[in-house]
Amino acid sequence: MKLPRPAPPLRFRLPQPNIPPTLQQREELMQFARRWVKEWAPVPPVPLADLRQLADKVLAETGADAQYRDYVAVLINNELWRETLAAIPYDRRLLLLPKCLRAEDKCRAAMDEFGLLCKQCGQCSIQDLQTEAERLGYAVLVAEGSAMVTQLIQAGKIDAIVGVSCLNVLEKAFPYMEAAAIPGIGIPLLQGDCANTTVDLDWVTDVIHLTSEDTTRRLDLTALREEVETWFTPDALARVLGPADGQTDALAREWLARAGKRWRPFLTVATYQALRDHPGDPIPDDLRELAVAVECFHKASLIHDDIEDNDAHRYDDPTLHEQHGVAIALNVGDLLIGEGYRLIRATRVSPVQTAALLHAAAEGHRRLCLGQGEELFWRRHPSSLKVQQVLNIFRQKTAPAFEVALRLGAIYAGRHEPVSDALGAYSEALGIAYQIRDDLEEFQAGKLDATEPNLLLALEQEKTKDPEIRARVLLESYKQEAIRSLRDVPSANLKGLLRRVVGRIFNHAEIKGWCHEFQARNAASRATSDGAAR
Amino acid sequence: MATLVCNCTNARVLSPDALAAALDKLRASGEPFEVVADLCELVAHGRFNATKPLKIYACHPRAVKSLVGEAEVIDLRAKNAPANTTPGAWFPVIDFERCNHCMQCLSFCLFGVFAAKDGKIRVAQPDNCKPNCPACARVCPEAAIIFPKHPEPVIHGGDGQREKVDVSALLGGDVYQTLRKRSRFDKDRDAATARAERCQCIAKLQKQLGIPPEVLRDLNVESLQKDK
Amino acid sequence: MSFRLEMLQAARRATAQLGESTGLVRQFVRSQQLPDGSFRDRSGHSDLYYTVFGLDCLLALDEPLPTGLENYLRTFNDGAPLDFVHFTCLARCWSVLRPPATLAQRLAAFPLPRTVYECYLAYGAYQDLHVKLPDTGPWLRCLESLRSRDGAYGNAPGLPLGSTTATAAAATLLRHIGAPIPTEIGPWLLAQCRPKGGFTAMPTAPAPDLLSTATALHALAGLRVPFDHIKEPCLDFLDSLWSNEGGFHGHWADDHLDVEYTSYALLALGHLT
Repeated sequence: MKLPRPAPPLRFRLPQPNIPPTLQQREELMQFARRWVKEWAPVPPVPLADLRQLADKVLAETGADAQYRDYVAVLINNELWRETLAAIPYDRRLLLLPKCLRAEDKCRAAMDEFGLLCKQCGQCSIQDLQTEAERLGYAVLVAEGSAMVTQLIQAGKIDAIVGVSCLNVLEKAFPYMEAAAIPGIGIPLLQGDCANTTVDLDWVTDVIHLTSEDTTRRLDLTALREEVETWFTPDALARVLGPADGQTDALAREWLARAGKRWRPFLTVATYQALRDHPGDPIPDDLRELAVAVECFHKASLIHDDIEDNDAHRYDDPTLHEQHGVAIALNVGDLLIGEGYRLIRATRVSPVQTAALLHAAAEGHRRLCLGQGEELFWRRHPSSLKVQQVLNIFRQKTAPAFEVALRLGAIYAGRHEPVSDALGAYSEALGIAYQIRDDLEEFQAGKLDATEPNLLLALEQEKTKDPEIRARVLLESYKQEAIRSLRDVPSANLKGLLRRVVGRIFNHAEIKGWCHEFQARNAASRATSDGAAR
Repeated sequence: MATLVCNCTNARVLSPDALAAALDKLRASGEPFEVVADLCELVAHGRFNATKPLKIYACHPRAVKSLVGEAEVIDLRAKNAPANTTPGAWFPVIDFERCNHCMQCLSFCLFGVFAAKDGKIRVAQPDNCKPNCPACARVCPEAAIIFPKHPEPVIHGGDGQREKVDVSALLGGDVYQTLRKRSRFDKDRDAATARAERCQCIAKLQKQLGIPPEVLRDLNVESLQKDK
Repeated sequence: MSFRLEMLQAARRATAQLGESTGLVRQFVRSQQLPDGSFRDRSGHSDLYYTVFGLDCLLALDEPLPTGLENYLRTFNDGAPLDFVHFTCLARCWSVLRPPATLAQRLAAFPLPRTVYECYLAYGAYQDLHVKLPDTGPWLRCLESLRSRDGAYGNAPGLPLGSTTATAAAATLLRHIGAPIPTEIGPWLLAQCRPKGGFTAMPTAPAPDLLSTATALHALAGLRVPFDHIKEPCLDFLDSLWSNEGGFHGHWADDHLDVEYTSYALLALGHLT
């Protein structure tokens, strides 16, 4: 099994004080700014003083710290220009990157009068950003200083700028941008100290790819997910599955309705949205059934998994077989699988499409069992697993469920064939990344189980210097691999949406302890507040 | 005659051996001399007031003379002093023999380092300058800006005449082309990378046209052309 | 103006695109020189054909000619044992010095050219040896017979589709002779350029190649057909064939580097500047 191209070494640093410290907070502020701008629709270009006033308004409404004002001002300005920029072809855009993203001690790049000439050593994120942007058609500049930036803006020959810079420089460059009325999106670096800085890379990638051809770009993924959640209330399920027929049926419904992140049904719906002609339109009932079917398959596999793994608890709750015994649990799992197929069969599509849907489900079903089987057979005679072997097990176990979810959505949209290969590669990388993330969470919670294939154990056994860091790099690499697999997909919508989905799945809950400094800072502030309280 | 030795404590661009030898010689000679930690810093904060004529042991003559005016300069700069993340005082030093007061640096610098008075440019706020940023030096049309602590000779005033760059002319044309051209025909594309690049092109083509790989490999393009 | 000079003028402009990498190309070309004054073929032996291209590169880069060149050329005497193609190579090589008069007689003794390529070579040889052209009637009739059914020129009579190199050569030749050029030629040549850059050898060829690209660009420039819109993609194509060993590959599946393809690259780059 081939490992994906390694992601550049990760850098963990706390943002400067006037930038929200966690990704989640920054995301929330961005979503808020987005909705706010949509509602109030100020017209660009807006001078800096006015932007600051708008920022104050947003801060007042969110209750966020007043010191984030400059950051929010940038967010607002970005939203003002977003649609205009999206309509400008890639080859008329300039991407400006700062040289402070480099690995200062390792970078051997030369500079010419324009800026840095990247040596493509892969030690920092500049290479990937530059390569990807150039592939799309951007002109790219890794600026050594502001002199060239100002020149470029004043030259009046650029149609749009995507600029990564510290808040300080963004603020100073702003009057020039505004005076020239050049559409620009600025992504603030998280630190302003000119060396080894960090930035929210997913955000940069998103903006680089921004295009008006991707008509799903305004699709509110949070709202979509919330909608999918509503399909799993007991009432909603009763409407889709019909009235419960006896205790087994009731128990199956109960387990289906239980808390879960609903990523798989979400993926089905997202894929459909990305491939249909009018992504904003209401979701057809059939799709709800398919989404529920996907969750049926998933829940069934969890129930059986718990039995196979002999787990008494899942999510701090007792497992089904723990509560009702193995016999009943087995049977409920079997029923859920059947329900999944029943729901697929019940959709009102052509026989050919039904056959395709069933085929995809059956294929996934088979692969999941084979994957699970690999692990079960290993467990009878557990031997220490190499990293490649663990990743292979992840691939076989976790990817099929994602794959089925994606394919059902695509088949239902009637556009599966052209994207089939990409969906396979995407779900494979996504599945592995997902499992790595799970392993990391277990590791941090101190719940490593040697009877299960675990990446960190394998890394430790291979005497890797820092297994946790390495695992995170692998996670990052697989995330990027998932995004890369979409590269040649003809649908701009699918590319954009599935790329954003990766961000959503993995940034939604930051892995605790991600930032050592953050922990230390928290500990310090706790100590002071304890001290103050005394 | 005042003799001054810059220790270059922060940026450390001087050759330690040359510096030590010079100090030894001076001590042995019995001449009075003064050692300063960072000559650039003294000048930036207006604390430089040595009496002329001046003999200075520091870095490249052109840099030092632009910094303090006429002096006898002994160059102790190390051959390949690397950049230092904390260089101490960092600011542009203008070589007024070359500067023609075009004011481009003034309009480019976002941090207000330069100022103009009576049509003449000067460095007004040296402390505003971002450490290790030599950007204005690269775009000065007359190559009149020096950063004494920068590792590259063309910037620290050393040997190597910098080609006068007319950035505005370059930018006056097709900016996109100018920028894109920088990444073509790269000196770093070695045989292996070149091969990978070509394989990628073929792979993309195959995907596009749905051609099985064996067919493309066997396709002898040359046989279609030479009709000797 | 001869074929050679016309191409040289274009190739001279290539250094503007290569910038600092020009030095690497110089190094490569010199590395292909042999002590006897010639250039090496792909197996390292002296070869007249490759010497033509080697000299083209040297001249394009304004580099000095090999010192042993004249001696090397003299070993071929009047070109007696050489076939037509190699004889024209000999003539081309001599054209940078002073060709001996005996070569001219030999040229006249060759039978009439029967392919576009042969017509093109023949015309070039007459120019290189400064010999008065014979009646071009038979050549023009030969070209006419090689028109392909899609309006271009092919490598055999009556083919359904033309080939880029033959068409480019025909266009250049007709222009030099002063004969009328069919109006379809320009658009046909342009149509062989792929959207992502590079010209294909035939309308049905899947992948572009450097020879077709260079000859097509040269022909289009001569016909004064505007091609600004394909410059960037073609530069990208050329970049995909570049290696810092200082040479260009002939196409994506070609692992060799030689002076022949490097000289085509210089010609193409010159036209793309």
